Amino acid sequence: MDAEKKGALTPAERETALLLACNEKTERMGLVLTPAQAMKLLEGRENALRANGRVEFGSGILDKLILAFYDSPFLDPHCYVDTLLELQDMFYYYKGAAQERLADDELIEMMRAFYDGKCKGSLEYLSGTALEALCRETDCRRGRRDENGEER
Amino acid sequence: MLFAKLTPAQNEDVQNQLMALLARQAELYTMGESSSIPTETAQELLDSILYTLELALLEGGRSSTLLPNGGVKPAFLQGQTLLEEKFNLAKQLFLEKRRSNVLLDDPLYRVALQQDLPKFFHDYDWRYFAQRSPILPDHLLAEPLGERRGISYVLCFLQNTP
Repeated sequence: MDAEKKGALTPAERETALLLACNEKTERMGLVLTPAQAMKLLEGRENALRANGRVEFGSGILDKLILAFYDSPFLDPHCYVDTLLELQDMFYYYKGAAQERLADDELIEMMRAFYDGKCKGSLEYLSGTALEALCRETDCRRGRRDENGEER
Repeated sequence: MLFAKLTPAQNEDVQNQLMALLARQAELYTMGESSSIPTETAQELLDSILYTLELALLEGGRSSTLLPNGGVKPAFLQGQTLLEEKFNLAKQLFLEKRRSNVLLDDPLYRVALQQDLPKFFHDYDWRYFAQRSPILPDHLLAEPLGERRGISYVLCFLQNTP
């Protein structure tokens, strides 16, 4: 109410605007979000956070996911929103599965590299195989570091 | 209760400040590398904030009525200063007790001084998890440890050990 009076945006409006601002970059690839689709993605974010036992402060990672994936040759404009929803779910799941050892940017970069690389655009393969392997490897790297007595 | 003297409007203002402080603490804790944290971690960070504020109110001479209108962060910073002072005092006391070997005949105190407390002083993080405490034996203490937590609990233990 106060925010409306002052002409300021509510957090939901701010987050929607942030996603819609990505259209400027993505539309050249035929990827454009409508306000309703942006809202759907933000609802999906709430569900993904809840399902993965996480809380988020600030605007989240959807804009980062969009800007990381929009120029992938495997991203189908007809499945744009559904793909983003799945990527978002995966992101929060693997943040926890990697036991908080991967920074947001690091995980997104790896997801993109796998998606375009060995997964060839298959979200199923990305989720079920590539990222599982990544988490195992992260775990092993940490194990090796512990044996050497270095700080985690 | 920490904010018992506040009106409902003041309470809401303080809650909003607490959420902003929690967001800031989460950002510092993840070093800005993660926009989200597990719910359990968020709960622990919030517990630590409340513990630190309580210290400022109970031992820093600060009234809870000063918390609305931007008063949470200054109180929190004062609480952190108190935490650091208590931590340094407790560590000094711990080293003295360990050197004196007075309690080493008692097996529970021996474990506390040789294992539990060294681990506590190594791990204790007053910036983010100030409420965490080890489990210490209190059967020889003149003053029971009661509901204390965190560094207040450890300091009380060390100040009251015979």
